[in-house]
Parts: sequence; structure tokens; C-alpha cells
Amino acid sequence: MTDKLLIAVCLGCIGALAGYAVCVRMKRRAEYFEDLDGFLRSYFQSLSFSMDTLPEVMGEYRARSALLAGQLSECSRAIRAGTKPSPPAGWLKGDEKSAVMGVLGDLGTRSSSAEKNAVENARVKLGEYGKRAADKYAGTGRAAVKLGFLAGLLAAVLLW
Amino acid sequence: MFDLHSIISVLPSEVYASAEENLDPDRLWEIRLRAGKPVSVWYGGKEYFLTRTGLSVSASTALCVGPDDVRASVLGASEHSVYAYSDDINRGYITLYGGVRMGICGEVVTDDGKIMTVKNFSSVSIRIPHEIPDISRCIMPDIVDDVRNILVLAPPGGGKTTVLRDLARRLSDEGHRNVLIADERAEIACCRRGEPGMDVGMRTDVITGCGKRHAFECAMRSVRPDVIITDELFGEEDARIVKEAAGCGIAVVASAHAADRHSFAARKLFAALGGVMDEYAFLSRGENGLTAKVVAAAEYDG
Repeated sequence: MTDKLLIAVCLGCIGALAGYAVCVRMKRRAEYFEDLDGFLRSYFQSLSFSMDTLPEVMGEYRARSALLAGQLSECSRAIRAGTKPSPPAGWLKGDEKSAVMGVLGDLGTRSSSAEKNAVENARVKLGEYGKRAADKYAGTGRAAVKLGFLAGLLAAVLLW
Repeated sequence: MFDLHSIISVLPSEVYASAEENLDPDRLWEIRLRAGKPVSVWYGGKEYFLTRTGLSVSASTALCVGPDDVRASVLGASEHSVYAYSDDINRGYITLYGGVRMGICGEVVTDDGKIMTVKNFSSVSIRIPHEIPDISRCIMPDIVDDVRNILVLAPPGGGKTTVLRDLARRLSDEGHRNVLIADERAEIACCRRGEPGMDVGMRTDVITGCGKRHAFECAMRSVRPDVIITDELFGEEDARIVKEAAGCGIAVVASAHAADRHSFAARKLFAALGGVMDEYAFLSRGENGLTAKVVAAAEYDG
């Protein structure tokens, strides 16, 4: 009996952990897009006032998302080396990946006014992915832990 | 000393690899990338085509670049920040680190006469400046107490800018003069982000990126120079500005294009200067390097 209770608790915990992992992934995705928007916002401000070069803006931006930090660092390195930037896609999915890579690859290739328009458009486009990710995290991310725990308990009942 | 690695971002990888392996940076003066054409270099005073294995006088084995390579080169020169270099690109050049200059050719877009942008880049020429210490001794062997107004004359590529740059350094360091360089196209001091790419002396101020009138007015009102050095006088307006500065007691050393001693007298600039210059220094390249024939204005009539 004690053994079975222990197994039930363990399964519940494993389920909760799995749910937590799903929740963290959703949170990470939502935070990434929020962070990317923050970078584009600061880039837009630079275009409006100080006109810093792209590597300078990328270097100065303090990214909270590890993926975005890696992408900005790679872009900056490639620009200085004169090679084509190939920032890491990480866990970005197909359409998200092509949208983000397209935006990062095209930054800095236009005159000031055209660049501002492009950044605004990029914010709108990537903002949709961000909103979707944030909604998903708010709607199901937090419930994932509870669902995972319940799934673990259900598995324990079935095993009983 | 010029380091080829400083221009890695502006050269296509194959061109950079070949240049790094086969060329001596000290003898390299210019690299030209033309869309759809072989890469040419000005090396040791002669023009060659660049191949994978070195230099060739024949274009058949030369490395070729396409329009995308030329565009990538301009992007590299602008640090992938075209918006930050729009004015430079519109003026037709970008100054890189170490005084290297990229001349840009392409399709100029205008609106009501104003240059809006340059697109469809067709070619770039990457010019590598070389400092030649004391080259200006050919026009001024020793720094004199009373610096006079001098016009340095030579054909394009005749060494005028190199002489002016060295003279600025000597007047500043040896002559203890406050020198101001009115560097319209950033060719003399090769400033990038406010820092001269070449040694122009410790008492030298540089105004760059603006017309001569603005530079001279700023200088006369607030910088108090003893000598103003400027490049490439062209028309009557330039002559007027020089006269104003000379009238204020500031010595002006300038340069202008002239095919030879005789042809300059026929230029409108000669008449417009109206005798304000004290000396004309005609440069010529010979087997002994750069030499100058300095003629007092009173003795020069073409």
C-alpha cells in the first residue's frame, strides 16, 4: 500500500514536472518575442535620434532571452567579419524562424526612412507571433502544471 | 602600416583570400570591384587583374564579382548600417578605418534635384592611402616662419593630397602652428568618427564633411588657425573663400588639378584667384619619385 502511494506521488510529481517544462517553454517563447520587440523598439529610437550603427545597437541592447542574445551576438560578429549573418534559430518553429531570420538579415540595408518603415512593419508582423505566444502562455501555460500533475495521478490510478 | 584585415568586411571572400595570400599590403594602392567585371588592383604603381593565384595582366583568369558582391561590399563598408552612412553614400564615398576610402558608383535617385539615395551599386574602388613622411619637403624643404599661400598643382593621382597631409603634420609638429584642415571629402585626414585615420599632426583640427565655405567660416570665427589646408579648389566660389581667408591673415595651402604648368593658366580658377596665391607648386612623378617645381606667383604666367 505504501509502495503504491509512493508511486502515485512520484507519478504525480513527474507529471507536474512535465507540465512545468511545457509551461517554461511557452513562457520562454512569449518572453523571446517580447524581448525581440524591445530590441526593435530601441533600434527604431536609434534610427530617430543617434543613428548608431547596427553592431552598436546590437551590442548595447541587454537581451533577457538567451536565444535573442545569441542571435544579436552572431549578427554583430558576422557584420564585423563581413560574412552573411546566420543567427541561431534555436527552438523557433518554421514560419516564426523564417520571419525572424528575414527581419534580422535585412536590418541596416536601407536608408533611414525606409529602415524605420521596415522596422515598424517587422514589429507588427513579429508582434502577431508574440501575441499568439503570450496568449498561449497565459491560457494554457499555467494550467499545464496542474494538468501534468493530474495526468500523473491518473496514470497512478490506472496502474493501481 | 596598412593591415589588409581592416578591410575584410568590404571584400568578397575570394578576393580577400587571394589578396591576403598574394599581395604585399604596402604596395597595394587600390582595389576595384565592378559588377560583372574582373577585379583590378593598382599594385606597385601598375594596374593588374587579381586572380586566385596572384596578379595577371590578362583578364582571362581574373576573379570576377557580381552586383551582389558590390552591394555586399557597400553594406560591409557601412557596417550593415546604410542609414548611418546615407550622406556619405550620397556623396559617393565611405571612409573606412585607417584612412581607406571606398568610392561608390551606382544609380543616383534624385527628387527635385536633391540626391535621395544611391541604389543598384555598379562598382566600388577601395583606395588605400599611404603616408610618405617628409614628402612635402619637395614644396617646403624647411618650415618657414612666414608661411605663404601655396597652391599645389598636379593631375589627378599626382600626389597632391599626400603632400598636403604631410605638410599639415610638419607645420603642426615641427612648425608649432595651429593648422586647420578643411577636409570636404575626408581625403586628407581621413577622419572616421572624429578620429583622423592619418597622422596630420598634434596641433591640427579637422572640419570634415561640409563645403569649404562652412569650414572656412567656422575656422575663421572660432578655431583661430594659423594655416588652413584644403583640397581641390575648383571654381570661383572656392577662390572667393580662399581670398577671404587670406585677407584675414590666415595662410592658405590648397591644391587643384592641373595637367601641367601651362594648362593651369588657362583655367578659370587661375583668374579667379586673382594673385592671392604667393607660390604655385607643380608636382610631377619621375624616376626619383615625386618632385615639385615651385614658382613664385609673380613669375608665373603659364
